[in-house]
Amino acid sequence: MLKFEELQSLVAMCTSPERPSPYRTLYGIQPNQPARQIVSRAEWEALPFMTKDLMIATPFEERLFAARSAVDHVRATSGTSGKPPLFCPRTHVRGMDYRFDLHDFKNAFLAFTVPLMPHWHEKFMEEHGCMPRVVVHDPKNTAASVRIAKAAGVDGISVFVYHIITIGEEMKKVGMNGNIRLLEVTGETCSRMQFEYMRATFPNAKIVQSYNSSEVEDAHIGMPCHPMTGEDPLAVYHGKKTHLLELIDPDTGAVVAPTAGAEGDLLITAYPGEPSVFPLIRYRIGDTVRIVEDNCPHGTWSFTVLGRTEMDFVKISGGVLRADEVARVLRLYPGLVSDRFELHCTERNTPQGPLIEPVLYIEVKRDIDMDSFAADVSRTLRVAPEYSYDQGVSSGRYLPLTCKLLTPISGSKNKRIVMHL
Amino acid sequence: MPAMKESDAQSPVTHEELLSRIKDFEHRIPALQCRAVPTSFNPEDTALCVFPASSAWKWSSLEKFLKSTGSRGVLSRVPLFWQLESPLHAVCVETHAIFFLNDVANMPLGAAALRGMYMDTVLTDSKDAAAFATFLGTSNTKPRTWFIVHSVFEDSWAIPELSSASIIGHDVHLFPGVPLLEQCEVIVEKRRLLFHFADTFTYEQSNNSLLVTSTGDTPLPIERYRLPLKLQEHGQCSCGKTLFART
Repeated sequence: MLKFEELQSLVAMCTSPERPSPYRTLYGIQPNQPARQIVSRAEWEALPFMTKDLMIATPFEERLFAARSAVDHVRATSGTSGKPPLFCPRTHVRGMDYRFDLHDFKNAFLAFTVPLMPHWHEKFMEEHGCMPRVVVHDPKNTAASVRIAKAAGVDGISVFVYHIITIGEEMKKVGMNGNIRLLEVTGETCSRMQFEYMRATFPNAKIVQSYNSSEVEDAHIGMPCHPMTGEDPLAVYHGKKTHLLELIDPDTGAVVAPTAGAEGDLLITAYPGEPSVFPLIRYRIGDTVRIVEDNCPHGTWSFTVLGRTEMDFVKISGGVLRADEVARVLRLYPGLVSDRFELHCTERNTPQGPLIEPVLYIEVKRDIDMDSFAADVSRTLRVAPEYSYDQGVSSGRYLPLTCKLLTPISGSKNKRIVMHL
Repeated sequence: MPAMKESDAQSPVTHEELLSRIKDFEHRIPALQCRAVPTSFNPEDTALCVFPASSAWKWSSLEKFLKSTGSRGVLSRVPLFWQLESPLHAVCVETHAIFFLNDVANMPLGAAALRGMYMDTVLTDSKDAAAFATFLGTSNTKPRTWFIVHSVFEDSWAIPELSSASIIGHDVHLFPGVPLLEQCEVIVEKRRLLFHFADTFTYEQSNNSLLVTSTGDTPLPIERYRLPLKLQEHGQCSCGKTLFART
């Protein structure tokens, strides 16, 4: 991970008076003052956290720490937090050599745009002397993507966890699931059921999960420590050389020592070296993690992701179940229910693989037919701008939503949506 | 591109025959350095097979369009399964434009990118262009330029929903990423639905129809393919190429 001297240089560079910088605003540096020089670890740990709100409020131009020509592409945060989208500039991918320990990259690859853009995969293959051949996975058109992947001779996949079931089912139909030798997944923490599905559907594949975020310019935040074997925790990560990961107490913000078993919120500092369009300093990503080993084989501590610190959403295939959207729907029936609720999501094994089955616990104002109300909610509840939960049920993506009376369930005032893995 | 003399070396190839040849060739794709592209713009098309397009292809019509319009950013809404991400990235590197892939189902995000980012060009297909332009109209957002990828099989290439104030470029592809007809800067400026043949094809007249043959080093050459539409010569463009209009 980044050394203290590198952190000192990074802070000085990001607070240089020669250009506007959100870090100067964050650290309260006046226009006539020089760059911030930190001289001790304590000063580093006292630096305020970069937040998504501040990044959203900072014009895109002011978030560019390199010439505009250095921007390779822009991606946007998923909007799952309910905040406005944050457009994140990116340069190019670095530090991915570990993938060659897992796969030979001699054949074509099926890739979504996360964690690596398809052209990033091609660049990676080319830089390592391989023929750059990538088939782009289109989650809205999985059958067509798989059809192309089969013809191209794909034997590796890099997609979101929740894409896997639809891809797996299509690949089984065309008899190519057995050809897959590397399965790279990212996104939400992989559940036991999802892992078992992958293991059964792609019996010849090494399965690895990486940990990423759109805000971090050079993927990944969490490098896979080893392929998933079925042993708990399923996915174990370590930081990369160009990052500094810190653990903090979610209530006090104090740094927590990374000893085995310790838990806390993750802070990330990311600077891939030049070119870098937006170095991140002490960014609170919003995930709670647990330290697995003090000293993993990669020379640093390893961790597993427990989940969102304050989860008000669940990513599902084709969209997101959001607490504010559930509340909006409930407010459409003011005579029947209040907007208090808890949404508990469970995965169920089905012939189509594991599917999500939500139960919405609601506070009723008078006797209502729960089945009929659940059907109304399902039709009205959006999981994407133009996609309702009910449409997902009709297309076989989700199991039907049911409603039950609200009683204290999770005991957590912060979590209105609970995912049971 | 000069017209070839009519040749009797090979009978004209229909679309069905072309697809049959492509299908027969598919098993060779894994060993080839090529771009695997779908032969249909429609993901539901049961006849969809996979064409081995040249990996050396550069999307020159888009590059010229972005350069001539001074585009700073491209918002792409073309379906991902069209396999155009990498060619688009290569063009953006050449033109110093940045690009953003917008999920077609998330029009509000696309609108936000147009309003708050460098994005001034929308790259999409004709159906989505009409829908997205209508959506953008509700928030008074107008992209400065549009670049539309049409299928050669579309009944019409006109998109009345697009604002006349925008600059619009049109490409007509045989398969996604296999351009057949393109527009030069002069045509774009005149805002007319006239086209030149792309440099990747030559053409010849044959019994009231046009036959096209691919040029260059391609894994599976297309020879004397009978175009599934009527095109008529429309004089010379000031750029020196022959103009064509749909009849």
